Amino acid sequence: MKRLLSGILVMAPLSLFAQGYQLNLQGTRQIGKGSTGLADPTDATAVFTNPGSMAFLSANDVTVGVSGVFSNGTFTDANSNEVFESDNSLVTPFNASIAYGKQNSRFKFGLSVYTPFGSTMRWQEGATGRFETKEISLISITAQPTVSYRINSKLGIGVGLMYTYGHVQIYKDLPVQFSDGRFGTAEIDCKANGLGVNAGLYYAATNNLSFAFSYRSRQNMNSSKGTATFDVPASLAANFPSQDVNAVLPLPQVFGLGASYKPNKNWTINLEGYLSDWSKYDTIKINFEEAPVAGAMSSDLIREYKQGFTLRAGVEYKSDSKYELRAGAFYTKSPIQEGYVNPDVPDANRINPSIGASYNFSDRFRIDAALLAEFVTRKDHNIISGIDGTYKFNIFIPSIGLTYKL
Amino acid sequence: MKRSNIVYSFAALAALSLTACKKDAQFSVSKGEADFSKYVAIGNSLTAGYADNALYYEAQVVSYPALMAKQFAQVGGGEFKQPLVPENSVGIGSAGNARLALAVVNGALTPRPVAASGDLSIFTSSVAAQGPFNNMGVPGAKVTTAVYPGYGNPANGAGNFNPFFTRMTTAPASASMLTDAVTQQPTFFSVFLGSNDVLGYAISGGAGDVITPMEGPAGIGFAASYETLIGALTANGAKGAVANIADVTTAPYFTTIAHNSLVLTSQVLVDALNSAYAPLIQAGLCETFKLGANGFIIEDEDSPVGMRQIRSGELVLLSTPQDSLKSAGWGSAKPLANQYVLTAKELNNIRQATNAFNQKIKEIAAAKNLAFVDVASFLAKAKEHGIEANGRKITTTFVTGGAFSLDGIHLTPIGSALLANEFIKSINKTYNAAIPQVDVTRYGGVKFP
Repeated sequence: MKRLLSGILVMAPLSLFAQGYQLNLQGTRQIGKGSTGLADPTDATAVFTNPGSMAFLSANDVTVGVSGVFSNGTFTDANSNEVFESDNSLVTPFNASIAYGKQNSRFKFGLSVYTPFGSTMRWQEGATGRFETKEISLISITAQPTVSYRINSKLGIGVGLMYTYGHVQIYKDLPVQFSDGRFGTAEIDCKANGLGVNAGLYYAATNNLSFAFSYRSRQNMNSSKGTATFDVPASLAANFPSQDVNAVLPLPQVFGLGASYKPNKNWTINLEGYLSDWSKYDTIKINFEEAPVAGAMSSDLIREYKQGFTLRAGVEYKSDSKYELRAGAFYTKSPIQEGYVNPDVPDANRINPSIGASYNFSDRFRIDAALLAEFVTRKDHNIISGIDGTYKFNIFIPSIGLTYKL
Repeated sequence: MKRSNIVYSFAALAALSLTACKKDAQFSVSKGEADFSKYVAIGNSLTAGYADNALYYEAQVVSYPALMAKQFAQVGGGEFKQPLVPENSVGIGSAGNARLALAVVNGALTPRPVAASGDLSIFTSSVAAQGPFNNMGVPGAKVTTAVYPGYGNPANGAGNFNPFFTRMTTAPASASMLTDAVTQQPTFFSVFLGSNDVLGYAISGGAGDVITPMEGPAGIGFAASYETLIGALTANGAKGAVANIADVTTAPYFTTIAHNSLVLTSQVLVDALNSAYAPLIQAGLCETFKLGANGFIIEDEDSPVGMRQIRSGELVLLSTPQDSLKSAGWGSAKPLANQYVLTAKELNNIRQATNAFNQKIKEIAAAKNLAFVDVASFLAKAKEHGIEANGRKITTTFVTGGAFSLDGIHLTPIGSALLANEFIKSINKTYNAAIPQVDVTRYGGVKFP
């Protein structure tokens, strides 16, 4: 136990826009190779990536790390030609995993704490979309205890229970004006939690070719204790009563399929695909518990997300000395349909390149670094709000991680 | 690969990201085939920036032509001068009144003048020395009066000159709105006139004023006056935009009080009305009164007894004193006076004139290759479906709809911004220009206490 606590951990980074709110990324090593690793277990991040592969880890280890998400972007209005900036505060998600099994045991047990979904977006003062979203902050943390079982020398299975806690804050302007010209404001603050399952299969077909399948179930994030706070002119206060709210935020189910090929001891090539089913993320209803607001008992966010998918490819080179180098890319098809893009998550289809490197100080201690870039351009004319223009975001995610083998 | 190579790769990725950052999504602005260096707007109160039943500073600075001029500035547009009233003035309306603001009266939000009287100094102190003015919008102006020399001449006597024009022209005795506009040699103009040619009749319930006839010489007839205006403005090759006029029922002034707002809650009253109006009911001029919603009793000179019950589709005007409806038996014990009602016959007159005027405006626009702004369709759309303004739905509903100010006829700042965009869209299309539209979210609707 003492050794465990003194270990240093690698963590999964967080991307702001990957598939809506989804941060479908794993450890620093995986980021460097196009966020692959489903069929390529290398450390305790397998708890998240594929519980089925954890039993095949050659050693027990602990990982921690930190990533920095640097994000900024613009919205260019197609009608007014004006450009509004979004300068988002630095987000530093952290993520920690441990995988442990007795020597010669077919079982391995793991625990991972990671950030599956998240988004922050802060638009400049006076941005044209502020009646939809002025600022949003969504954070979530999942704790996932996991067990993995090696059925035989080729096949592994694993399952983990995901408990997720989330916190959403939304700020927007209301189209009612004070006598001094100021617009009213609304703040919605919801804390939520949900349960789900993360399961996986791993199959080592030959010594240098393996396949994997993973499934993360839908999680209905229930928020029973939220608040809505309105700041409106006194004569309208009765129409905008601040009060408790409740909501359900359905997080998607995710299917993953991957293959890993090692042509020789130096090289690894990974290919995988993920399908994210956001179909339940259609209309998010924020229900007012006490009294109607502007005549309605709920505020409906019409999102109509559908399926999204990601195709990923990564390559890794392990030198005979202490260096490892990797590179990769992934293509993401956004779940947000034409006509439904909002200033809260202006997601788009895109290609993300990444590079990474590791240095092994010893057989036990390794440091990883990676850099992921996201270039998002989305032109849309929202059919509900009428917001018409182009969102452009550049996101930079440097990540650093440490692995200590127990 | 060496460590330096790794550093190089990271740097390359960073450089790639910065390059991507610089690409922007803006379109290239263009004036197209038009020249906006000298823009002059001719119109009535809507053009002047009259709102909340008065001409006042805050509304003037967001008049739709002033907002258009700001956008024109991006494609070579010049200065846009307006005959502004003092910044902190309560303003002045056509009845000498102050502007309206919402106030809570007996627990209900009610439009109230902000002062007992309007700021009469606006009429007595000329601002002509600050001119000439690009905004030639004059509250009350008609197509016919826009070409009328001496329109600002006090010597004509009260009611025969327009003090809103007097204060802004250097030659009240001789100038017309048109001559003051043409003297500036505009390279681009807009004309939004015609509303008062029917509205004067409409807002008085058909009781005062008359609808401008189509025929007749300039200064009398609509067609000749409009042709004179456009002929003079285009004489030097200037380009421009003209707007048609909307159906009266798009303005909340005509639609806020439903025809059947006579709500009866006591059977005693129902019986009393049925007894009092028994002859009307027998003559088929009134339905039997019942508990709940009933149509008002109105004056009508075409009725044998001079009164009848209002019919569905007929309009009760916002000028109707609400307390008289509630407590003085107006519309029930006592018929609503003609000046507060538009009957089907009067509405028919208004619609026929509106259609004829709009037909003429469209013809002239086509003949002169001018941008044609279909305000009628735009306001009809706002009334039927609302306008989605980047997350704000703007409708023509009184107070809450956002488009119309507290007088129910003139626009709010966001209403002006939306109208400016209708002009810009049409100008872009006609003259192959790319003028950015106004960001409407910067502008408000009705303000609340």
